[in-house]
Amino acid sequence: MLEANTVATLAYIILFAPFAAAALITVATLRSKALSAFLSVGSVILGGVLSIILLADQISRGAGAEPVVHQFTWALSRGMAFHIGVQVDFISVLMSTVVGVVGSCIFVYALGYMHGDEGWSRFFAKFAFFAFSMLGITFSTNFLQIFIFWELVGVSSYLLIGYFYQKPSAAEAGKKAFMTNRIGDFGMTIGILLLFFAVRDVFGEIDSLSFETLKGIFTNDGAREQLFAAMGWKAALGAFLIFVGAMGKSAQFPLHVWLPDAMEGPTPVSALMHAATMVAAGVYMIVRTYWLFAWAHDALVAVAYIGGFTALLAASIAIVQNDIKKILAYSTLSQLGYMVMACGLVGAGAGMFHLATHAFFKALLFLGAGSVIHACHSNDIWDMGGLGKKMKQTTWTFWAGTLALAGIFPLAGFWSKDEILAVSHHATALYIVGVGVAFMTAFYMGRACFTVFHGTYRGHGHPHESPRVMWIPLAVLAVVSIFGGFVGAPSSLNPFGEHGLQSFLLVAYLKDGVVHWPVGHGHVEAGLHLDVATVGTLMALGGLLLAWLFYGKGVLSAERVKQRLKPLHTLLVNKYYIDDFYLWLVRRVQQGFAIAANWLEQKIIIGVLVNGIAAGTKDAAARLRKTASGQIHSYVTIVLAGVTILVFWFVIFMVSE
Amino acid sequence: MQPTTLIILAPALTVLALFFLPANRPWLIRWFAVAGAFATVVLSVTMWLNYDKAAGGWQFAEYVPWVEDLGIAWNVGADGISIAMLLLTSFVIFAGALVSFRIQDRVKEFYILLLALVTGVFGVFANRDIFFFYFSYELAVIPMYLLIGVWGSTNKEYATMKLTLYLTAGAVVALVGLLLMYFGARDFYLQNPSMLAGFLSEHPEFAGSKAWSFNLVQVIWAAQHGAFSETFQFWVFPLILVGFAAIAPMWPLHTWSPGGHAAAPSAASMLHAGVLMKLGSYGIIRIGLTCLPEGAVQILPWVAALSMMNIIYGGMVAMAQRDLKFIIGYSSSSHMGYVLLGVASMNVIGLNGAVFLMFAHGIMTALAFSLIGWFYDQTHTRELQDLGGLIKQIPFVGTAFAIMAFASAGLPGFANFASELMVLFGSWQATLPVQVGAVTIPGNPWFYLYAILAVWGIVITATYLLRAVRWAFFGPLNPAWAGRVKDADGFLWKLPFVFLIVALVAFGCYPKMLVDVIGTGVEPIVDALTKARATLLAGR
Repeated sequence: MLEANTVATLAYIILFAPFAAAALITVATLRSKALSAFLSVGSVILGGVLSIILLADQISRGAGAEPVVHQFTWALSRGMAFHIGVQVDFISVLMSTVVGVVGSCIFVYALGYMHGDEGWSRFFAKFAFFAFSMLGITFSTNFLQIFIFWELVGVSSYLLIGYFYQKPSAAEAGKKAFMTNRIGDFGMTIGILLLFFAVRDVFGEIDSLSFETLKGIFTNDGAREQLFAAMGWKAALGAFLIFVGAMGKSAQFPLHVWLPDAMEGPTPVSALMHAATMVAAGVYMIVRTYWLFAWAHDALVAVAYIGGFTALLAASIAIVQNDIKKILAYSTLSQLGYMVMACGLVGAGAGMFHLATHAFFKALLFLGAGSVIHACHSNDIWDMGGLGKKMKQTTWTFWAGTLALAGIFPLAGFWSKDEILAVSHHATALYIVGVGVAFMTAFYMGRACFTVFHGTYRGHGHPHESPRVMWIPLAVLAVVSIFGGFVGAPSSLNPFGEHGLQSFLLVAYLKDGVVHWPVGHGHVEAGLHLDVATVGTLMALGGLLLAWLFYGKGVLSAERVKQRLKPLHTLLVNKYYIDDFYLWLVRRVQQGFAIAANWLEQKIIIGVLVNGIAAGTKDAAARLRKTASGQIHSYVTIVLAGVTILVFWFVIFMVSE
Repeated sequence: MQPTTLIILAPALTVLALFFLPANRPWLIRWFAVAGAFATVVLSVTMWLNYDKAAGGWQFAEYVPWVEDLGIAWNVGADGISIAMLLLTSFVIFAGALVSFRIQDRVKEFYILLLALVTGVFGVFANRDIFFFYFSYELAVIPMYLLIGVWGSTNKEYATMKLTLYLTAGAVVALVGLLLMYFGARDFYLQNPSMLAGFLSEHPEFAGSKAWSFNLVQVIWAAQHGAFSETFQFWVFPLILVGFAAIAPMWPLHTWSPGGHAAAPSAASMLHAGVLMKLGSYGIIRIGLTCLPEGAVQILPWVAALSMMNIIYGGMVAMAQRDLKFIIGYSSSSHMGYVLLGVASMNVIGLNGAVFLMFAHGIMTALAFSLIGWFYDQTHTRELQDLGGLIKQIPFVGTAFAIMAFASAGLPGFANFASELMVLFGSWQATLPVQVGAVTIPGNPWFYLYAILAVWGIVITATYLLRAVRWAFFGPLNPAWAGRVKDADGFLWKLPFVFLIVALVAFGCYPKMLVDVIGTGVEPIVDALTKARATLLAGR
């Protein structure tokens, strides 16, 4: 066990090393490609190594250990202080390990993928800055800090999606991602304000942004009931508004539209940010603040259904996509929906576990896709085919990722998906969604694999295997994707003890691990759940089999199905017309308001009021000027007229006296 | 001599020196002006670092009686709010003087006017004498007329006339209020000689003061001891408010500002949006809130409502603009809405946020106008559809512009985020009741709506700024500019932009170092407001 001070220091190093790298590259080493890459990659690898040390330390501390918190004052007003610092506990360390290890693989891979790019140093600076922002979310001690880094993650995402800024589609995609997230942040900001002041209203001037302070209140029955009595329906609203922020980052319906477009970024960016880590930030925040959600039941129900709906919606769209990165993007959406659904079903531990395993195999799949794209110079799976013989390393690793994602025993995805299906078992509708999504996932991944790696090559040129710097990270991720799930296995060999990773996660949110949910009990035993495992595995195998019949063996014709289900196919290809609806909102409604406001401004306020007063003054002046004619007799006439009036008035006044 | 006096003298003496420099040596003139501007940076930073936060109040004070029959004195000093504004002004004038190196036409006259203007601005922010406060305010407005009229572009005659009329008219309205306060305080001290003695024993540095005095400290003391009746305050506060709000600019008195920005040359736009607007909000806080709290607390809720027009309506209008300077111009009036909202929230965090935002917005908007000026001088267009892909051609200026847009859109790491966040917290806090002794001041539930709309305003801001960045800088490069637009190359040209960005980032990453100072100035004002609210409630 490490000293608390050491732990905090290590966390600060993990956090600030990528920042220092980004700053140094921007200020000093832009011209030296080698040095820039070394700084950037080195900082993330350092973070990964230190995270593993911290993770080992957390294991030695045991489940339910007190977090180490260190913070300093960021801004101070009388009666109100804002802090920034690090909170080191099992969840944050698990997350930083995922970011560090997956990040290291992707950074190394990028060395090969970005080879020869003119913006090399700029890319690595931004990449390192992203790692900093993401780790900032990870180690946040309070809502304000998580919001700050939340926004920084948003901006690094914007910069990296729009990395090929001369491409109009990339520039638009970056903007879309940023704006969609801003709408999520709108809710989150209000949620934070609502919660902050509600707690202050009841408990006085305490640090009611701090996670630990709030956790203390929410896990104390008396304090919590006092707070909820004062807040009423606003408690659930506050939790839901905070979840709206998570909906933006984790791309939940209806704020999911930015994620598929975000694939305009370079593939390593898609892998790290839009698959493995950044999009998981929303789920992470829910887990981090689970004491809040666990007691805000109404919000939790909404979370569960939004997650389930997103999972289903995205999986159905993924089936008809032809761009390999888009398939993976919709798959990511769907899996994020899975995690969110698990959180909503009181399975935050399952959600967090799936977050971790998903990060590995989805990063692997994206990097594999990048390797394929690199070789074929196309994103379209119908331009590929038969790559299995030409790109051996890419093929086996991609298949490993696919099977892990489909949830085939004993790969990583199997264990975490099993947990999710287990927690959803008591909510029948969502359980059916979960099982259905498992089937669809296996199908669309099988479709991609059979089309890309088997059959005959349909593209141009001669694809060949990517360089070693690219496929070694693939192999590392593949190994973790295959064996990583065992941390959730009930075994005495498990480094996390007999009850697996789960025991650490559950304890971290709720002391007793039990929360009541309107639809049933949320308590789930860690380990293997044979009944749901059987169903899940059968579904996955069925999906793969069907894909094989369509795209491998070719005994079924996808064309015929397409013709038969024409309207459905059109609906799916057009992504349920959600994007078109938003475009209409932005182009017509929002811009309509803007033009109306501008009309009011230019025509009424400036045109009529301001210039009207000016014109009136000028007009009056022009008329008055005529009286100053310069002719003595007219002046004399006016003076005489005035005197006459005065005399008359005076006389009448006197008479009336 | 105190740094407050020096900071007013530095630009004034530079102006004087420039008169005697030969007009055919432009570089000599430029460097001289920059040296004068840099001196103010040194002075303001010195004051900020040496300000005693524990003691608070007026520091670096100096008092030399001048026209004793009227009670006019050279009476300067700085509190926490002034310090922030002095820092802002010196940063902007330093960057502005550097940016203006590109001016080729009548260099000498340009710098004389620029520094005369800034003398006036320093004169307002460092003054404790109402007469000089007003005098300096006018001194700041008049050179702007000439700067736009002579060196401007885009409909400049109309714009400069409108600007000057608005600001002068506003000043006259404020002057009526100021004179009423002057006479009100005089009558108070004449009728209660013991009060004058009381004031002098508390403030021995003003020994020899008569009952009639333009000394702000003396007028505030009178206000604190009941010189101004509630009715008086209720009628005089609107005069101060409207007079200064015209320059702030509060809706619907804002229409002079976007056109003025668009017409002005770079450095004038920088000072205009960066600093002149803050004279308005500073005046409202310094004179209105401090001297007339019982009037202020009754009117400010309406100001909060009007600030929504600034934020939402201003943002919507900005969204419909195609000219970059008009976008930033309307964005400025939108951002100033947050300042007004912070002021109207009447609590420490809200006012801290408002003052901090005045600082942050000033720097940010100065950066915006200096960058737009950089490529406008070469492209002669600011229409979004005529630009396009410029970052390829001018990567430094383009990157700096994107940074500006992020700052303006309220991204963490920049002072704008920290300050707008504080305003939001302040606004929400205004919905909570305040307990003063036995009196409970009820919260104002309207502020829920204001806070929510203000958060939405940040979304609107991001919409039009990202769109501007997207169309002006990203996408394919417009072939008309390929090889024709020069980037800021070399230390000298980059310096003003880097300087402003560093200021935004430094105070954005660690806001405490400025907010602590601002807080010492804000707290007594909020206490006075709270007391006034309690008094009014108890009286009813």
